[in-house]
Amino acid sequence: MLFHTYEFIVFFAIVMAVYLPLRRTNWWQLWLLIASYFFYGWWNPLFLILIFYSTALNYFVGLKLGTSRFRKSWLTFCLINNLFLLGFFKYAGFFTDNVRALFQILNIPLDIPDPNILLPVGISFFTFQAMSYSIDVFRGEVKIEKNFVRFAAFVALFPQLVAGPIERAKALLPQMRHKPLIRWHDLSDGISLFMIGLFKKIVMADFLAIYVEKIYNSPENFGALPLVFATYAFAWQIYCDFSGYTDMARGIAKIMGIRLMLNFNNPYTAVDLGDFWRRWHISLSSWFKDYVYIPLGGNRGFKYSVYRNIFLTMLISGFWHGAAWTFVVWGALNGIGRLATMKIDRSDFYRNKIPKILKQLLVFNFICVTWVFFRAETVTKSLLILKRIFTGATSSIETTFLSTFQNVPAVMFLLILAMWVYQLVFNSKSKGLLETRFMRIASIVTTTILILIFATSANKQFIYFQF
Amino acid sequence: MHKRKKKKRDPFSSNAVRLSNKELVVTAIFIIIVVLFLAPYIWFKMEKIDTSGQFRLASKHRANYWLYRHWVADATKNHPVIFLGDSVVWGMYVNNDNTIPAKINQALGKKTVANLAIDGLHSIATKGLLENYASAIRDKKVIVHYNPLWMQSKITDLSHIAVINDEEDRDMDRAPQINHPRLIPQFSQEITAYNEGFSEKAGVLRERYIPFFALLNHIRLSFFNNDDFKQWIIDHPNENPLTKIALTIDACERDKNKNYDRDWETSGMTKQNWPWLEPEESLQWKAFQQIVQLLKKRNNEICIMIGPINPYMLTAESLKRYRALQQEICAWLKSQNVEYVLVKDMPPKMYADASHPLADGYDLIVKQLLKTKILLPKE
Repeated sequence: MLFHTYEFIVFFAIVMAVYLPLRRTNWWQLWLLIASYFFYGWWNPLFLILIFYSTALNYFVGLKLGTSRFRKSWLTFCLINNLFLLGFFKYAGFFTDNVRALFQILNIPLDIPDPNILLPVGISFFTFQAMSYSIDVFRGEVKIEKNFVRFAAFVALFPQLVAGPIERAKALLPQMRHKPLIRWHDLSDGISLFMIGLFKKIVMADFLAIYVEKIYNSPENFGALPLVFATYAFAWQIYCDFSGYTDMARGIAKIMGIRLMLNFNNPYTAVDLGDFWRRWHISLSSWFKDYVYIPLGGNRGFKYSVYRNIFLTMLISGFWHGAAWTFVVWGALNGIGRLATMKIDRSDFYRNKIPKILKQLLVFNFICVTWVFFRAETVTKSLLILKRIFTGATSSIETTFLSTFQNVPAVMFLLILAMWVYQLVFNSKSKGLLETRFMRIASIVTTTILILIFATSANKQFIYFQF
Repeated sequence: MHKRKKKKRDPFSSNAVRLSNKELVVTAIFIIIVVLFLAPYIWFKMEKIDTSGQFRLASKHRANYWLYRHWVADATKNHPVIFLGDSVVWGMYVNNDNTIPAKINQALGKKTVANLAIDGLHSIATKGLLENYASAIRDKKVIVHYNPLWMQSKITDLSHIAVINDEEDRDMDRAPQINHPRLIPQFSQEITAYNEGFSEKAGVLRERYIPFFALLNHIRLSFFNNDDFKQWIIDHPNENPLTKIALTIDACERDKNKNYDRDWETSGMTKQNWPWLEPEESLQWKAFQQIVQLLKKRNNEICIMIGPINPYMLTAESLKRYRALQQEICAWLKSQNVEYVLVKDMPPKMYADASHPLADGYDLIVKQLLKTKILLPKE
């Protein structure tokens, strides 16, 4: 069930009709759990077995971590189980494909059957959320949750279940322990957030997707400039798609009196790569920082071990995104980029002499290069795209610079420009301009009209659902 | 000096768009009243449709119900009689001068009958059209075409889902499609043939009851070749979509050379053994009965034209069943005190297919119709 469908509107109306009176009783968590399981089972009821298993596993291990003498063993058992679950459902196909290819190279006449496993929606998100609870309990950072219904509702909370933000137990579980307080401004805040998310998804992401698909489906037919434009368009598509989902999730949760963390903070206004990762998919970046980077050693130790830690974290983050070599390369490139620019970022020259806008453009363009691997179907295609971009390839469609520009839809260009300028102003001293009553109301009216115009019955899935 | 402590709201988001409750209510009221209702109303009033020439809606506008509402409003201003029906009345195989309404007007020597027929308009869709887009024909004289062809099987009756057995049909994507799905009841359990998803159905209701969405669909159909707006913008990068929109629309069919002279046998059509549904089991017949009641309630003077159906294209058994059906239809209309014309069988060469006549066939139908009370001048 997608947020921007009539099905969801009906679902949410029913959920709220029961939730509002129940929120003052002890039944509200059970209702939230039933609603969340219904929401998740809408995709495929079989997925419920998986989420229930993951919940029961982490709940049980959580209890054991409080009483057992073999705390480390229990945690190891829990992590192996969680990672096996993720590995089996997400990476089994990738693994067999690669082993098969290896056998072919080595001339080993052994055929491994395709596992044909259906990837459950949002598995990477709820597994990470549940896992973080067990680790935090082990570290003594979170109180053990003894109420199974409450814990299950925390793992399956429907607004953020399938595409995050990946909430931490220490932020979300305490909220679930008290009856939710819904104030009037939570309603207006929630609706405002939801509308902006809806705009990002329907008007921006789904629109840009058409242009990106057209070019990326046959990159060999397009010259350097259309490929550059399509890559820029994809950068905004993925941002609007994912942050749009998050905005909607946060808006829905807010209406229910639950606060979810900020997941995107205008990442394309970042001035260095570190800054970018503090602004992009914040809940995942901080997850990797706390549960991968720091356990690997973090900033401690030799310079080279720090480099190794950063690189490995980025590499694993890439692999988390998808079972394909393109994501591995994407993660590796980000790791290399981070390592290569770390020193420069900290230099006085870069900090004080380079204009901010130039730094923002440099970061944005580097990120766009990495997005090529994220979007293209294969590494070979990614390399072809980059080759065509960097060698200034031309095509029979675009013969001149002017004809290339004429093939870029002006409406698309204007929408991206408007969003970019908005974010630049938001991050500048002129932010106050955007906060005037006129600007806020004008923004909501304009975005609503555009949503109404661009909304069609064909609703596209969110990109991050596949992760 | 004592500093007043500012009450802090939760950290919000990465944008500044955050409305207070009061602002949200005012904005919502503005959007609902001005955008969703008032702006489409003003547009409707300002929009002009060009109906010069033969009064026959262009086939490209067959699914543009916003435009149809305009069309009905114009028709009722200038014509004392309205003719409702499907492609038989619209004139599928003939040009503008050879449709039934055009021939009646020629015979009467003045613009009397308005052609409000639309291709593919079965009874269930006609009912939806009358309920939602044609309230302007209240108190008018109305001739309604009833085409029994929609009762020939459960599939055309929409009471049964068409199963495609033929591999070739599946390959060619020739699954039988429902005509005018946006006019039929969206959540009826009876119409089992209509099995669209919830979102699609809700989208139709949205268009039916919120004028803004009807206007959007009208703009899309009239100026953007029925394309999705997003897709159109990407496919036409050099064009400004705003310049495509106009407040004047040429609504009339302009194809003057559309006269077809091949009869059904020459076209290679063969005999059919259609089962024909019993009236009590037919959804189309039920809808037609409701149409008659609705028109009566709206104070319309009604005349029903039944048929034509090509009897030569039916097997003996099928023809027998059809004759029995004809009698039942006539009997019901008689019981309701509704004037009707049962179109007589024509020579086989006058049929283009199972139900459409060629131009000569239309002459015979018009002769029958000219004898009806509804077309006789009032004394």
